[in-house]
Amino acid sequence: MVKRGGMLEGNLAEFPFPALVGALMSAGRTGRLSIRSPHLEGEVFLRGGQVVHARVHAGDRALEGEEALDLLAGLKRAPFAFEPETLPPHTTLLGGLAVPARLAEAQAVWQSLSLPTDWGYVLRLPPGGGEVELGPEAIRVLAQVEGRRIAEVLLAPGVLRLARILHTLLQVGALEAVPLVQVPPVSLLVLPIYGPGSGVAYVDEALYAEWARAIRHGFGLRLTPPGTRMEVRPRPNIPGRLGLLEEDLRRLRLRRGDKVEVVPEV
Amino acid sequence: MDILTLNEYLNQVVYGFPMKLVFLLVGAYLVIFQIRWFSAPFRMLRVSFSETFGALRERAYGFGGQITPFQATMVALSATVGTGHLLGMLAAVLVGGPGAVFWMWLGYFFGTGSKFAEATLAVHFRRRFADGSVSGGPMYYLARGLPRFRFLACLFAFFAALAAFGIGNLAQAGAVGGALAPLGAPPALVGLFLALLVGVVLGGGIVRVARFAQVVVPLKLLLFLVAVGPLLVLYGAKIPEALLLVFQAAFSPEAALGGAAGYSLYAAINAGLGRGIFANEAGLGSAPIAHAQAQVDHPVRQGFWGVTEMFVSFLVTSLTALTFIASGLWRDGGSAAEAAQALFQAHPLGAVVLALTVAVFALGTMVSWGFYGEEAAAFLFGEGMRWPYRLTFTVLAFVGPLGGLEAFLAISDTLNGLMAIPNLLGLVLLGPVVARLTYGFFRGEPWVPPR
Repeated sequence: MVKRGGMLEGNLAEFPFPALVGALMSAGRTGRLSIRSPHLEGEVFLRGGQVVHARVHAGDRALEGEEALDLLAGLKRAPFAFEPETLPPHTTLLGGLAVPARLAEAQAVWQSLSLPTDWGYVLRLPPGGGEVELGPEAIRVLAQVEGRRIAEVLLAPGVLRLARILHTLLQVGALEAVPLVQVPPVSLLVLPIYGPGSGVAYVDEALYAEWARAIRHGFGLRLTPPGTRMEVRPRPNIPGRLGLLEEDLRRLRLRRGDKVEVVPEV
Repeated sequence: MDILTLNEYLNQVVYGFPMKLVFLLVGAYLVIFQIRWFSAPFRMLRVSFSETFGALRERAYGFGGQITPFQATMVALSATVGTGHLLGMLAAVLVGGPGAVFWMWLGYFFGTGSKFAEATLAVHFRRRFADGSVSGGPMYYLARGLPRFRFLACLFAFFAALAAFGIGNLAQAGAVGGALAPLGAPPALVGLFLALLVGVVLGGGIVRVARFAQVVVPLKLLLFLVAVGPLLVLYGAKIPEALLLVFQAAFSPEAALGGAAGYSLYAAINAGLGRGIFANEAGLGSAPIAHAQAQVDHPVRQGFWGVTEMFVSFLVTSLTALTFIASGLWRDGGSAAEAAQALFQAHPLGAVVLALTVAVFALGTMVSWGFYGEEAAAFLFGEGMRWPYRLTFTVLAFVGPLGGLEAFLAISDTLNGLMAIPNLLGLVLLGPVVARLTYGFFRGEPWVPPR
């Protein structure tokens, strides 16, 4: 945590939200605490050490008051800045001991859950399928969350309840959270790899490392044409090439030197 | 014993029949026991074509290095496909009879093993420098693969650096001058042109040498087709007969050829193997210097390009030989030059096409050999030797067409033959490395370069 020109700055990864708010309250500060994660923004206003207003928003969706505090308590990583002497636009919280108590309660709930740290991850039904038994509320949530980011799902009334349901759905494998990959497709030339096995595509080590840095999650490769998804592994010294095993070449009707577009997929 | 007598003795040894058998045996050892062509011959053939002719449409795409595998092969082919494919081939048929062609084919077949191993080892043991450039060839695979026998690497580099001046330069420049002389080209002017061309191309390093080879090799093949095509049409009806004669005369030349010409089985084998070995340079160690430059993900891929180099060389020598045999002119005897003149009398463009073909064949050989010699000299004396070597090579290119320096030429011819001794020894000792690389390649394993 650093102090620049009267502003206090840092990251929630180093200074968790409940502890940060507690410290500002103890110091009797007045001002605005801004939190900016890539997928949502939050602000907490203090007046003379009392938390009087909290708001979280992403686009046109917003939460205010205790719900906003509940959500902010679950953020594990996001830069924050405290701007002193900034007054709140209006009051949504009564202050007093109710705020630390609410924060402690929310923190305990979040600690019992294992949601991905990055709320930019997208929720989707797992490709394998399978059977699980779910309650009506979980089914209702499940029906609404596919293709949405965790932050978007949680930015709704009943934050902690939603978080618990998401946790359950992820635990039982009814949902999976994957990063939203926006890597541009790469055009590569097919290179035969002679050997046993199939279903594996090889790309140059440097390209693989670049993708791995961008995705930070296990990923496969989609080939166009023919639109197949394959496991991907790094291989040295094949820049500009896509190594395919002989059996896959036959199966995909590809031959040496064919140009294919590949894009990593989680 | 003076130096020329010693040279003559050594020359007879390195180009003698026992040495040819050594070439053949090393090739057979690699083909049968290390590369194991016969373990899955059809698969090997299919992969070989896929890796080379199948990769032609992506010839402009490298693997991130200085020159592509295709360009490296062009540099090697530029040196390999020389005047020996024309005049040398005619000489072999004149000396050994049509049966020599069969033995030449045998030499080619087992030569594929040597060439494959050379190209594979050249890439595997090459040295990569900080600027992304690479150097390789027998001197590197001998030095890095057999550190206890480092002297073999130095010997090879010494022979290659000096042989390049003679056999790769003076002899070729002389051939260009000789071929263009009947067309009225003054030797001094031809020498000046050659010196300028060779100097400019070699001055640009491997990238310019490769670009030059990429132009000159197709030109060589085109000229060869223009030269031989009409003759093939003219004698086309007699080609099956010529082919039959090749097989008949291979084992019993006396019976097949009537015994009148005095051809013996020994002469057929000796002349045929000589062509099958020295025309394609397999085992000599020159071509791997070019193959080492290729940027590939696995050395075995370049090994297949080495086989392709053999295949192109095989087509050129075989077409020359079959045309010559079909013409019936081989029965008249005489020298190779006289036979060539007689053969091309029937060509619509006459001796002009022969002269141009010989000139271009020799020119391409010269430039590639300049690069080989330079690499060998740089291995022996360091990078600082490159420009002095290029300048000396350029000066000799000017001298070549003027004639003279016969003694030096004779010595360099012997040195050229001597290159094979350390190289063949290296191929035998490093055969297991080739086997391991080939096995790994066909198991889909990535290549791990030696430290």
